[in-house]
Amino acid sequence: MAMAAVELRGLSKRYPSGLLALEPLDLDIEAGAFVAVVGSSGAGKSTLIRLINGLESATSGTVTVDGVGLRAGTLRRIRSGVGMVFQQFNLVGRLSVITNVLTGRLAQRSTLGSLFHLFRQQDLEIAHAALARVGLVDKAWERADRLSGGQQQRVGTARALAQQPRLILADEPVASLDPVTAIEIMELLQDINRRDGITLVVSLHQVDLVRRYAGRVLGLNAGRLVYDGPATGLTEGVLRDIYQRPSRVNSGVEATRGAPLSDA
Amino acid sequence: MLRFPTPDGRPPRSLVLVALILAGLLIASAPLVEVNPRSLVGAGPRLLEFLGHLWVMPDWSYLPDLGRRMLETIEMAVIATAIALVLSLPLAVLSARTVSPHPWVFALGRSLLALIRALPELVWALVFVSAVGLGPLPGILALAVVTVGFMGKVFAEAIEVVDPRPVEGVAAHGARRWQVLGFAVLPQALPDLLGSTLYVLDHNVRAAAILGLVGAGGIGYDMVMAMRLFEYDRLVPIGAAIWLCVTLLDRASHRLRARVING
Repeated sequence: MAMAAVELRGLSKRYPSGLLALEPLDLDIEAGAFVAVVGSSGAGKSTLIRLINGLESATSGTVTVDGVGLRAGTLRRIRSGVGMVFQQFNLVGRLSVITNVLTGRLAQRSTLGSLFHLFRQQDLEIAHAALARVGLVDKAWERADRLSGGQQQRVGTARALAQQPRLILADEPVASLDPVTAIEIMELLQDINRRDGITLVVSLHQVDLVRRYAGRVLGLNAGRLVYDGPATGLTEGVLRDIYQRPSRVNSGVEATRGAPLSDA
Repeated sequence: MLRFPTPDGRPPRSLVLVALILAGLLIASAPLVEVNPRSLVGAGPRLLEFLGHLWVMPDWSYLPDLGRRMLETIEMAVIATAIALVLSLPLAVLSARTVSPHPWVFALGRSLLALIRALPELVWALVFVSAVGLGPLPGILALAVVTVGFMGKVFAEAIEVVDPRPVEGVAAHGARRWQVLGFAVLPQALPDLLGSTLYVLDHNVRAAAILGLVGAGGIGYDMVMAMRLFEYDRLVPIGAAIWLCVTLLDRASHRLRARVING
């Protein structure tokens, strides 16, 4: 069997507040997979995804991407091969669309040249091809913040493509988009996964999107992995396991505290 | 009945406390700095008398001199601001909590900037006049030094408040620290940096106008001489020229800012 794209061993995360966002977890993600991470808000989806490219530091355990262990010394090297798509797009609004896509090439450029925002012709061609892939060539010279949400997410995806990654992480990529735009972005991600063979790890809220696009599903509940299996295995019972509130949390019908408001 | 949006409808206690303490401090400190209502009453007629002197026909023969002096003043301000801009930006990067390479560098940078700011332009001008002699050069140096202290701090604060999400967006793709700075941090801070620079330029024109007081060039020397010799027919056009320059500069900076923010 080929080497796993991502290997997680005993990986856990506890925030300084004491919250255990992710319980120790062992996981292999095979190259070329389309993996969805599901769970309610605060279940640890973002934490899991952000641990893989070191945007969060692990409390325990190891992350290995394409055979390279994640450490301070390998952080940039790993990141240069891992694209990321964000819920809020995380573009630099004042810069042009093409410049935003070009920031995906920065790992290959020297510090000195980038101080003056200089790139190679080859980088521009890669960025242009990435924009063509997401259908936004005509917006290349517009300011990124002038674009609609769906278009901005396409730019975010083009930025990830421009670095020619083996793995793309997408943290709630469609949570800020309307349903139609969400489908467009998901189709785009699926196409990238199938045609380019780029491994995708995507956190998602919508179960219907998970069923439609994901091969494998990781279900998290309160930081614990409660399901790891094919999307076709998402039965009512499994969904209940994933989305039920842990018993220690109140059911949400707690009485409103504080003094009642008088309309005197 | 009107009420504040607090649980008990009363104003927030901490706010009331702060207001009371401030008011107490003000009342307590007034005698220390010799603020006395009676001296203000007596000042009214004398102030009116001075304003009456200003009602004169300007000395037109002085205008060419005035133009030269005013140009020198503006040049001093522009050059000093440009020098300070080049020096403050790297200092600001080192002294911004979010991008500083090390907490110690941050602390050191901020203290250095505070130290530079501690003395006003006039004192620095005196220092430089004794070092390099009379003329605009010591004035420029004095302005540049104080401006670095101010600009460095304001720039650092502008850098600290940029949206962290684009910064993460660029960093997540393997960009080096300086690349993140150049592509995510500075572009976002640009409108603030420009706004501060234009404010500083405005301030420096006014500051350059008094440095002549200690022989450091600009319109200040003429202004002080006109006042001492009661040459109100010169003082009036000097004041008008400073006002005109600051106003024009204000208009120009307003336009430039709008263009950069929307551009």
